Amino acid sequence: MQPSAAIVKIIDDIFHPRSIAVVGASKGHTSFGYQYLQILVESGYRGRLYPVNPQEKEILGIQVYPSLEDIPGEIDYVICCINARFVLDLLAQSSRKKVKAIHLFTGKLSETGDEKALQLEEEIKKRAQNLGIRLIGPNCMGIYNPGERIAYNHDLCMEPGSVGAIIQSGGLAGEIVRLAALRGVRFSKVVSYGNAADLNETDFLEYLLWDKETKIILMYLEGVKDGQKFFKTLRRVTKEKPVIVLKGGRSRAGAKSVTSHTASIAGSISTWQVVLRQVKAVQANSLTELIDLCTAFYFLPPITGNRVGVVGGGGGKSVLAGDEYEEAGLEVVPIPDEIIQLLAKMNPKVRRWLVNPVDASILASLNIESADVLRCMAQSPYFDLLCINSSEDSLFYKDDWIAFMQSYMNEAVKIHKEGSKPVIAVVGNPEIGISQVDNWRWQTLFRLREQLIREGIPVFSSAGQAATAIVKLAYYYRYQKAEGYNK
Amino acid sequence: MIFSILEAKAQGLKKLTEFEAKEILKTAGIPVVKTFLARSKEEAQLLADNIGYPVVLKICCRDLVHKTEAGGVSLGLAGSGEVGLAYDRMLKTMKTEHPRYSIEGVTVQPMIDGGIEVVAGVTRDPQFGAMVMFGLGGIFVEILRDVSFRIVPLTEEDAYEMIDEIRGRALLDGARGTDPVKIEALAEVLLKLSHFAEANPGVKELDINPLFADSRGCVAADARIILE
Repeated sequence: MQPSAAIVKIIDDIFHPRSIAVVGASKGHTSFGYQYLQILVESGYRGRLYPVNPQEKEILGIQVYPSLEDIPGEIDYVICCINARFVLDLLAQSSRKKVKAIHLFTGKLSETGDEKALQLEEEIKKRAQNLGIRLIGPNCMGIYNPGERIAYNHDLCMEPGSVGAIIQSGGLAGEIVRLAALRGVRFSKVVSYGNAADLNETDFLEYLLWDKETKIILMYLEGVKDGQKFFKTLRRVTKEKPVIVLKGGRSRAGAKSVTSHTASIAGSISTWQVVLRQVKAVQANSLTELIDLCTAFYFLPPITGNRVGVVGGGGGKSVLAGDEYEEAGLEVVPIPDEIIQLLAKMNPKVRRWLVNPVDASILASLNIESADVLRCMAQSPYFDLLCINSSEDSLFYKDDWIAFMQSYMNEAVKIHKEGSKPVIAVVGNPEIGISQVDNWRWQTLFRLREQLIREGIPVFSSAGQAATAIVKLAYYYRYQKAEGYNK
Repeated sequence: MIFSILEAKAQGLKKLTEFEAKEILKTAGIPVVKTFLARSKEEAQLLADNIGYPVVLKICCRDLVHKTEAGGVSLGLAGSGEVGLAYDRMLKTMKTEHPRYSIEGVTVQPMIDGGIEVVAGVTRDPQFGAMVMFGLGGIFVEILRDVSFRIVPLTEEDAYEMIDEIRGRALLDGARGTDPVKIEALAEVLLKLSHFAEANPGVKELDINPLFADSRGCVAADARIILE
């Protein structure tokens, strides 16, 4: 077996355990051992679940075993929540129970920078290696595989999807999944791998390349274990699947906190930019952009063109949308004559007034529906992509406005389903407060936003965010499709 | 005199002279301007006569990192007399400014005119290893930092992309009335540097500055190699 094939098999087994032991499970609701057990019960894990704690008999109605070796059946995977000083003993027990892999949630190891902790992590790593046990972590959240109903945090969506994620940080692991889920993105497999004493980012990358359920790869990295190996692997992976990377620790202040955070040496960002650009990874510069990019890649086909048609939104909003699209690198192309001629049959004044982005208030005064224009654009070879703008600032009151918005969105969904052009939407201000959630305007916008997402339309919070993501997406697919450098 | 990186390593050297660096680049397949080492004024004059004028004289000294700043470079010497004067002046400067430096001689090379000055080089990143650099020479690299990098090993595509990436790219297409530069030749140098960096892990830094490029090709006029 090739070394990479062996790693793929090991990680695939980790993502599909038939039984899980939670070592350090406890009744204390604030203990992590309790949390892991509770999360696995709540998410509906279907394999056998063995809590381990010498002081307890039963937790959450599940029988507790005093030690790993008291468990009658085989154990495929261990989640370790006990103090670092007991880990070496756990390794010995795991070896006797023929455990193949352990997730070390356990922290306070190399990430502290403390000399003794570094030595202990090194010893854990060596001992595990000698015993043939693979490690995830230490100092991480472990795995999330909705297909197997395994999660590492509460309330994570259990519907599987096609995004595989490699998230070095533990704290961001839940947040990334939750934020992306709000946009309709679903995950195939996610790992939070912390200090990477054993399995590291390159191993997981190799796995997600192989994994058929994963179509898009997302990474949050603070540093890498072996730069050259990572570089070469990433270069291979991006030829087949898009890899969206957010690198943490770019500023000097950030780089300092990285060392104390996950015990990895962050390279200077200039080198990271070089690497990511060179291998055609898709670079995200913030968490918000990471989620935007993920949304774009999840829902959009591999478009390579840049010409966008924008419909909806009032005057100023349309003008600004045009600016933001252009500045990000999309082309807000003029509306072709054929479309003007067609619409002029409905109202001849169209000839003077109609420009891209199309102002919804002008359309209203011409008695033309936004959807009519959108449909014309969908049929035209002059556009690669259509964008729906929302017009929250209409003068229509409540029911009339709701009906107006609903009808436009319904038509937009139809056009999206007809499939002649990809459709995106900029709908809903995400910054409303809890006291406004009952307001009819915001309620409508968020209901429409959810409807669009459910129908498979990528929804963004601003034109600028949408444009930045799409420009990067089109750039990636142009490279993926081009064979070699075209001079 | 050193002719290979292995030899330099064996002798525990940290720096190579311009002359040595150019010999090594030549072996790596990178075009280098004809450069001769003279040990006396008369030898320098004889070499200059053979090369044809104008010529360039440079102090050859392992310890001297910044030759121009130290008065160790004389450009555009038009005849034997000028060569002699420059030779004396440079050696005198070295003796007063850096009396302890051991001087191996003076290099004599033809003065290149025309073309565009670019720079190319190798450096090492602690995480990702060797990187190749490319940029426009002079103020473009020194003040505007208009350079691009790629991690080794470079593909052909990388080499072309890093040339296209610099902001002053249009200058290579003849934006100021010159003939367009032969981009293939530049790409080839970058690829050769990538191979060289891979084959010689002991090389910490390498500079070709300037590399003269024109419509026919390119040629290294000065080079520096620093070892680990």
